Amino acid sequence: MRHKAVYTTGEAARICNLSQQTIIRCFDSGQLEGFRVPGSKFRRIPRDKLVTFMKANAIPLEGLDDDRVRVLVVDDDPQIVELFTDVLEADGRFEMATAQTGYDAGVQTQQFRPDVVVLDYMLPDVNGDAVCRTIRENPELAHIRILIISGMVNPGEVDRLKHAGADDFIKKPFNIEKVIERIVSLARG
Amino acid sequence: MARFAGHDEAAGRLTSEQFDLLAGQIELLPTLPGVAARAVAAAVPQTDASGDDDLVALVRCDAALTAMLLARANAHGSAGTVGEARDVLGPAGFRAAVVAACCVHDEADTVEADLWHDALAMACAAEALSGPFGCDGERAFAAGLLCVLGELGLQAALPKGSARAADAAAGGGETLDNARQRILGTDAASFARRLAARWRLPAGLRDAIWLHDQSAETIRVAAADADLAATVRLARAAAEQAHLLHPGRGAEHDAAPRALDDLAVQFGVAPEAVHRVVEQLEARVAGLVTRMGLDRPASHRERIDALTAAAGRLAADNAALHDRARQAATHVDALSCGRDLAAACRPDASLPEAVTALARIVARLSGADGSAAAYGLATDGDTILAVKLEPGTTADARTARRADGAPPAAGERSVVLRALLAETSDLAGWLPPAATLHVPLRIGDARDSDTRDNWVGGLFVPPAAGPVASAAAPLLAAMLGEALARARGTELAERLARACTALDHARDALAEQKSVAAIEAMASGAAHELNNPLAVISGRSQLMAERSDDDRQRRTWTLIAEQAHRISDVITELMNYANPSPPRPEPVDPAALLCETQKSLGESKESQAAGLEVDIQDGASRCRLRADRSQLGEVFAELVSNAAAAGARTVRLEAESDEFHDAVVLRLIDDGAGMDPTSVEQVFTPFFSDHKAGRRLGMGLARARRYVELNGGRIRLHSRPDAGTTVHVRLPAAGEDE
Repeated sequence: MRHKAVYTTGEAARICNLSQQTIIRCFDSGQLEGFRVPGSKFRRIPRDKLVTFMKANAIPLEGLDDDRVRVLVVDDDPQIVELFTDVLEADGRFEMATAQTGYDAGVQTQQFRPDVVVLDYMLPDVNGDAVCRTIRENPELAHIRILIISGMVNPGEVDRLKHAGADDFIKKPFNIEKVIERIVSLARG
Repeated sequence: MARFAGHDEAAGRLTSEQFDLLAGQIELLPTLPGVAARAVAAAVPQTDASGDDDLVALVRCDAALTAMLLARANAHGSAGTVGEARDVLGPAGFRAAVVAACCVHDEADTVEADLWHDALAMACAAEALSGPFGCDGERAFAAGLLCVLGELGLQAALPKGSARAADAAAGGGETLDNARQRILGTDAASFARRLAARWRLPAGLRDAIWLHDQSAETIRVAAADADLAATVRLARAAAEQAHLLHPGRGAEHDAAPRALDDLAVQFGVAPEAVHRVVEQLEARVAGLVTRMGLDRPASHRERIDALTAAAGRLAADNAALHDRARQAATHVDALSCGRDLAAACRPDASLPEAVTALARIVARLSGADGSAAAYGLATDGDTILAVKLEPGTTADARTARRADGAPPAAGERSVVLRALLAETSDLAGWLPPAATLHVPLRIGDARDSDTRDNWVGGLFVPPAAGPVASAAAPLLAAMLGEALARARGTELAERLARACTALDHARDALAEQKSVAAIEAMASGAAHELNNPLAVISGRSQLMAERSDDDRQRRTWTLIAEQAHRISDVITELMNYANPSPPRPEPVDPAALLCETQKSLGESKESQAAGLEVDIQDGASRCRLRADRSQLGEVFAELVSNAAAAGARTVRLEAESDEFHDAVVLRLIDDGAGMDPTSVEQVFTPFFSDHKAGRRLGMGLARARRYVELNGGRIRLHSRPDAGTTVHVRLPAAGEDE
């Protein structure tokens, strides 16, 4: 996993183990240098400026060196979640979090800041396309790749999910190697 | 066969009255030359009634002769079987009628011989099934035999149109009856009803013939003799079940296999009894086929020899008849006016018969000249049906289009004709010159005389006969009005029967739609509820295989994972069948697509299609149709794979546009092992497979049918063991500018 060149405030907060609000305050006061995305108010922090900020404030740099792919697995079936946990943790290239409902998925997306969300389509509270749309509506989360994984295989549904913002679709049951390959290739974007 | 004037067979669909006129002109139906020769040979040597049994036995197996003899007999008395017809006509009259019928037609070899086999199959089945219904076996036999009456009549009256309809049905994509309805404007059953009514066959027999392919409910409501009609309906289903009916007359191959049992139960007959009849049917029919000589090629020479032998006998009979006719002639005049009146008022008289009878009455009233014409409004309100009589000629009938506007009042012919007829009509020159005065016929109160609703027809008479005709007009109008009401009733009944058939089909389609919806709901549920555990089974098995050091264990874990995927594939197939993507139609070259499909199938090592040769008929490479390319590709892939699996070496593609250029009919003909009739019946059923070993999923042809139907087409399959398989696919044609 290569290092990122530019971070969002959320990513910087995660790396520094600070709240996003603290990072924003430091950015606005000039303590943390960066730039705003042209035509919008969103803040971006180049890697070297972040390193400078961390050193100046004695913040440990380990968070910066963690180049594992962050995967959020969302499925209401605990056995599926457990399977992914076994597979991804054994692989070593992934850091993972899990959620069993659409609501949990929303919270975890904000907190965990995953690179890839592996999302079951049929969730107990909302459907996968609603989760997709929620993620896509937040520009702060624009980097997140969404891999839908479902037992439903209707081609019309797949089109609809892609339209709602899903990046790829895999049918259950799946080939484990192929799922891992797909997660890695999505994370590399 | 005589034609009524003014009808051009190429002009297309006919009106109700034109069918009545056609029915009226059919006196005899053609029989096969071989049957005719045997019938004449059986008739000639007999000198008394004791030897008639052989002749009766032969005639009762021939639909054309049976119909003719029943028609003759019912003109004088009442007969529902050949034996009764012999009793009515007397032995000599019976023999003479048979010989005369066999002598008249010299084009009989144009008639389709398959009809005789079908007729015998239905007759034997009806006779065998008559017991449970409490019907007379001989009567049931006649009714079953005469189910082909409409087809024989249409072939005799409209040979070209019938041949076109047969070609269209043979090309696949529609039933024979649908093709006849589309091309001729009638179906065989309705035409049979008109012929039976014209020949005054008993009402029970007439309805049994007419309703022989209707549902149990329709038969209960509409048939004059519900038991006889039910016997014949069940007989037809039994003959279908025994595969004794030729393609086109049998049910659609995608009909439910349990249709016979269901029908038996609806009629209150134990299905086992019907199955016993089905089992014995082939042997019974084979016996009669041999007796009639249908299993030997028909011989013209044989027939000519028999006819020569009959000539002497007929000459003697004719001389005797001539003497009797001369004696009777003196009484004819006195009786004929009354006969005409009776003919017009007869409860089963058709509209053309009533108008002809009116013309005869008016001709008599007009005195010595005897020329007159009468017309009636046809049931469609846009056509008039006219009959003219001139001394020394037979009645001549024709139809013409009526002008728009109010009915013409009484007056001079030239004025009336302008008001009466559309400009294209040529009736003006056709009417008898002496008949110059028009007398309109109206029913009801004189105060309503200007309304269109009560105008039923009119008369053209010589001026001298005007006062008499005007005086008789109310009575004649009442007679004509009644005939018109009857004709409308007949037409409505026929429409109702057709609507019942359409309703049956709609009901079947709805039932299928429901079952597809149920499959969809089940497959959707299964996709979610089964694919999750399958994903766990498969995923865990893959992990175990990866972690195992033992080859044997690794193979086992891999096998478990593969089988989990296989179960999931079944669910996916079901989902695709029940809920396929909507088609995206585009112009498609079927020949190129078939070659492409075969090539890509051939590239797969496992595919048996690798060595299969595709043979494209010249015409097929010029046809363009409109369909979803990817779905049609899957249909072709399934058909080619099936052909390869059946051991075919070549698949031939034939294609042609239908006659209206709005559809393309494709025929994929393979030289593989073919299928038995039971397999053919179920071939489009999901999960059906006739592969004994290496069983495939059995969804391919079901999905192929679904795709063809989604693209606005139809698919049918004909196959026999060791004779290959032909699949007919009918799809919309691409537009000329596409």
